[in-house]
Amino acid sequence: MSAADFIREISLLPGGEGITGCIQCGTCSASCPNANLMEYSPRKIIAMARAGMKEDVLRSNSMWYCLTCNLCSVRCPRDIKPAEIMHTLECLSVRHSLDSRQTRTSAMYKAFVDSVKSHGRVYELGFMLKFYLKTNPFALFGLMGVGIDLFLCGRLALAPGKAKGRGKVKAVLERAQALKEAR
Amino acid sequence: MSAAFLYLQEKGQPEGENRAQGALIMPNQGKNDIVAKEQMSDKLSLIPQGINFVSAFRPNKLVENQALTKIYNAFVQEFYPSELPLAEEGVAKLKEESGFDPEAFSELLVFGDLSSREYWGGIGEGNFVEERLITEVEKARDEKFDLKDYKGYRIYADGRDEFWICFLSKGRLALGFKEMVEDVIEVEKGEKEHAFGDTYETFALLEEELVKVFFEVPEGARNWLRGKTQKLTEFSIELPLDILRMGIVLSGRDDLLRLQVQVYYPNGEKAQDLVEVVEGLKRIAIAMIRISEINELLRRMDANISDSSVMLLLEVPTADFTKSIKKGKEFLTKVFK
Repeated sequence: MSAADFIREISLLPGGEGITGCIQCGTCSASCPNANLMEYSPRKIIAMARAGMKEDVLRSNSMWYCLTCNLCSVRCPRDIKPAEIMHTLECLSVRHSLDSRQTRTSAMYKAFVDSVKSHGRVYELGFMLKFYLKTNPFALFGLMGVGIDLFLCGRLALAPGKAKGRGKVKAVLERAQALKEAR
Repeated sequence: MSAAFLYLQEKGQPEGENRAQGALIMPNQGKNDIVAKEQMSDKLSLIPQGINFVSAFRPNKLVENQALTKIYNAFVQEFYPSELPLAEEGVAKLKEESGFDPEAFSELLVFGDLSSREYWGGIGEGNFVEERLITEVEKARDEKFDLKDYKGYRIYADGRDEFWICFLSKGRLALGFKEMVEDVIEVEKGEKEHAFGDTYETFALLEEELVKVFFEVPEGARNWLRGKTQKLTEFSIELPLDILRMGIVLSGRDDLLRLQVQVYYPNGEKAQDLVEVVEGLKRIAIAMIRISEINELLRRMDANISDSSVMLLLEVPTADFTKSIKKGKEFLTKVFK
C-alpha cells in the first residue's frame, strides 16, 4: 500500500479528514498531557501516517493513550482536530488486527460496546467483569475495595436494569456493523 | 475442641486472638478430608510471603452443586428476570469470555495483598491439558501469548507482560500478575520462603469446602466501615468493628446450604458485643417482618462465641431458601411500593 492509499484510507473515515492539512508545527505534541507515554507523539504519528508507515503507525501505542482532552484540537492552527485523527487510527488498527499489545484499551472498547448493545446502556458490573475476564481476571481481586465502595454508593448495580429503547440502540449498532462489513 | 484449636495450643499460641482462630474447623473429619487437606497443604506451601488474603474454590463442584444452582436461579427469577443470566448460562459465558473451563478445575487457590492492586495470583489444579487450555484462553482473549522462560519454567505472558500463566507440573498451574507468579516459582524452587503466620496457618486448617476465604481486615477498611455504619450509631446500635480477621466457609450438598462466617476480635468483650448485636437485630427483624418463611430463616442463624471470635452459622435446606427468596420479594414490594 502506498502512502497515498493509507492517507486516503484515513481521510475517508469520520475524524480523519484533516490529516492532509497538518503543517507539523508540533502544537499538538506540546499540548498533549500523555505525549510522554506515547511511542510517537501526535505530530510524529501524523507525519508517519503521511509517509505511509502503516504498520508502524497502527501497531504503536500512541493513539491508545489519547484521553480526548482535546487540548490539541483547540490549539491546532489548522483546525485539523488531532484527537479525532487518533480515534480514526484506533479504528483502523482494530480493523486491520494490528492494535498494540501493550494497551488494553481496544479490549475495553469492545467490552463497552458489547455491554451497550446488550443492555441499551453500559452495565458497569457486567462490563468490568467481561473486560477483566478477557485480560487479567486477578485484577478483579485488587479492585474489590473500589467495587464494594461503588456498590454501597449506589454506583454499581447488581443487574443491568431495563433501559428504554434498548432494542433501538441494538439496531443502530447492528446497522453500523453491517455498513462496516459492506464497505 | 476442634483439631485446629488443639494445633494452635500445641504451637504455644498465646491466649486471646490467636487461640480463637481454630474455632472455624468443623469436627468429624473423615479419611478423605485428611487426604484433601494434605493435598491442599502441598499447594499452600507455594504461596509466597506478604499475602493477607487467601481463598480456595472448587470450581467443578461449584458448577455442579444443585443447592447453589437452585438458590441462584430462584434469586434471578424473582428479582432480575431477563436481566441476569441463569446459572447454566452464566457458566457458559464465563467459559466463553475467559477461556477457562471451570469444570476442568478441581481446586483454585486465589491469594494476594489487599493493600495492592497488582500482587494477586492463584494456583489451579485439575485435569486440563496445557496446549488445549492455552489455545482456549488465547481464543477468548483474541491475543496470542508470548513465550518466555523464567528460571527454567515456560511462561505464557500477555502483550503487556502483566498476566502470566505457568504450568508448574502436570495438572497444576500458577497464574496471575507477573510478580506473583515469579514469587510462586521462586517458592517452588526454594529460593523464597512460603507464607507463614496467622492468615496462612488458620486458612490451612479450615475445612475443605466449596468456597473458603480468610483475610486480615486492613485498618483502612475498619475506619471505612465505621463511617458507613455511622447512621446505626445514631439509633444507639454500636457495632463492634475492631475486626482483626475474617473467615468464610460455604459448603453445601444438593439439598442443604451452610454458610459460616468467623469474625476474630482482639478480645472476648468485643466478640460478646457482636453476639448481642446480632441477636438483637435478629429479634427486631423477626418482629417486623412477620413472614413465617423468612422468620424461620432468621431463627436458623446462630451466633456462637468462642474466646475472642464469633461464629455466625446459617444452615438452610435449599427448598426453604428458595421459598424465602419468593416471600422476601413480596415483602420488599410491599415496603417499597
